Amino acid sequence: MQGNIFICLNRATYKGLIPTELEGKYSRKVYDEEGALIETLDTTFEQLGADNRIKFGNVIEFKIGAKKYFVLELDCSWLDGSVSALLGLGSNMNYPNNCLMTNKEAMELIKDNQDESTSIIH
Amino acid sequence: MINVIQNTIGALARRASTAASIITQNLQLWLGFTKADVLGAELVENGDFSLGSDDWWNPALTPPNSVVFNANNSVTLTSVDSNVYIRQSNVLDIDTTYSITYTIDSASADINVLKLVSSLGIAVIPTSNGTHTVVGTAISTTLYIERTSNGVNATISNISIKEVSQFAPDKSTNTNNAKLFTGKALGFDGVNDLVDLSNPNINLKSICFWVNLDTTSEQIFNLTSTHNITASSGVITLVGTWSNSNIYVDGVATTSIGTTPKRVVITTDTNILVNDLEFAKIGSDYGALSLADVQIYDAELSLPDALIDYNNPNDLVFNKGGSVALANLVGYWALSEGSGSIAYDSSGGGNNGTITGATYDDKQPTIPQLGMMDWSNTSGKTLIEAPNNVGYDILGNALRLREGGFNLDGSGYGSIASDATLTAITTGTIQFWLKTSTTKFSVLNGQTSSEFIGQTDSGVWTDGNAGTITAYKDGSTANTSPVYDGDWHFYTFTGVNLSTWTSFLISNLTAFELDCIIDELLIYSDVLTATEIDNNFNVSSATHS
Repeated sequence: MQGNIFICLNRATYKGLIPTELEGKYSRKVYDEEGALIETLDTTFEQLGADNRIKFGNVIEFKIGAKKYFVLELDCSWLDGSVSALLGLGSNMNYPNNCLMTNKEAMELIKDNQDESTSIIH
Repeated sequence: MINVIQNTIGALARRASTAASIITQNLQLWLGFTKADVLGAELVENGDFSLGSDDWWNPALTPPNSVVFNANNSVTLTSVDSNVYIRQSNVLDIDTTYSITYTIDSASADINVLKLVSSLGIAVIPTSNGTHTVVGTAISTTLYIERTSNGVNATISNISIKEVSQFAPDKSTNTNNAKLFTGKALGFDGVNDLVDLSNPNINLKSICFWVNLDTTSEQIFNLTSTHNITASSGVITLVGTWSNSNIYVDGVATTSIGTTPKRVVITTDTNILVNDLEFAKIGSDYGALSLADVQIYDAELSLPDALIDYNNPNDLVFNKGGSVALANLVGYWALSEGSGSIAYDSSGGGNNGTITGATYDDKQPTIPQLGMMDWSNTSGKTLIEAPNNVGYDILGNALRLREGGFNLDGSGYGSIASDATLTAITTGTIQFWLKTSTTKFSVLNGQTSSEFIGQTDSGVWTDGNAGTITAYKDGSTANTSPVYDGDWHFYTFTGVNLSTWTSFLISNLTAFELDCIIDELLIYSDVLTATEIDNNFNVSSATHS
């Protein structure tokens, strides 16, 4: 499956919980033997990236100065509010903190900082 | 009365002349799907530059003294005028790749004599005496041949232009070849997608692959900690030690590569032990590209091998030609699965790859055509034949044999070029063999969802904007419903009107794509008689049983 959006998260957001609007699709869940949902677990962006690595690709980590950033690929929609929730993560922040971006914008950002970029393999 | 007599004589003559063979009178299209040619039909007419060549020069104008059409069907561009050219209009499609072969009969030894820059984006072409082939992507619909340097002459003959794609040849006299779109490739986004094959521990002397770069600089393969393959500003670049390396692109020795699909073969005379294999990722950098049909050999391929590989996809791995032995195939990732997260190694080496983020691009025209192969499709994955286990895929699943037909898995199609020989049909006949177990499909469709012939959804045939149709099955027996029994059946549709169709597509109607085998597609410009329908059924029954 291919994602339709990229987001560059700062370290605090990456280690923090995903917005409630993303929980239905991306939160970790516990099922019983019959496949019935028992529990929805709190899920961080870091865990989301690890869980969806095969589906969307690696999480790309890079530094600007001393600060670490993480680029994740996601499949989100305006219809369920998930795009708006991601946009909200970056309000009043400077680029590239929690900025949504296209494929080309993500490539340029990573390329501009590629000396410091690595892939996170879980 | 005269008409009746003439028609009767014509019908008798037709039957008499076609006994035990397909009726050829008024036959406008015949796709036998016996083979797939990499290159299409000749696109440039009058490539011999005959005297008074209207195709290359506006007949209303007198050629300048610098353009001389010679008696031996060649043309000479002389230095009398500067920047002279000849041209043919509307022979190329922009962004389409073409192969041009031409013969230089005499020329000054100046590589700037001829330029195709206006047509194919090729700045300089070989101009030494002899026959040459160049491949390029059209940036204009007009083909120009230019002489841009003063003080030199050139005489050219026998130019040939062919589209680089895969076609099912039309066996009628019209060359309405069907361009095939049944290849699959794996697409990488350039941000975080890759295939990781870890440490396959295989020796490499040759690597072959189809690639379509998003830009002229991309990361293609990581092989070891010191060896990799990239494209840098349109040049294939080998990093690390590659002893006596050769690079072939589309069967030609060159390092140049653009942003259209290309078949690349790279060789070296000394083994490279591949122990860190990744597709579309080198170090921390990713490539934006599509890949298909990756083969690694521990033997060095020759230029003739590279040509076989290019002109006859998959022949090398099945030992149908070339100097390389099957035992030398140490890695083979067709990337044809279409779904899932595993890139299977069909060589038998067991070096399957993990697909991370990459997604499949279906309907590819210039890579090996699954529609012309045997394959299996279990769990929704299309796997090709394992060269070391003929008749089965790498997982041991039996193949669905194409049986000489067009073996569609529901994700590809064929496109027949629109032509006056087809659009002139107002009361014609279409016939084909079909072998299907699926119950929802459309055989032939046009430019919109309103034009279709042979559509069904688990019931009767329906036909849209295609005339007043009468259908027959297995000869001249009237028929309203297709058979979904998994056996071959021969269908005939008469009364076909194609006069408003501008596209002629085999199975490209959304939600009605074929997942079955179709063969011997015939289109006539008249209505076949019952005898003629029976004839065509009978002569091809032996190969469809």
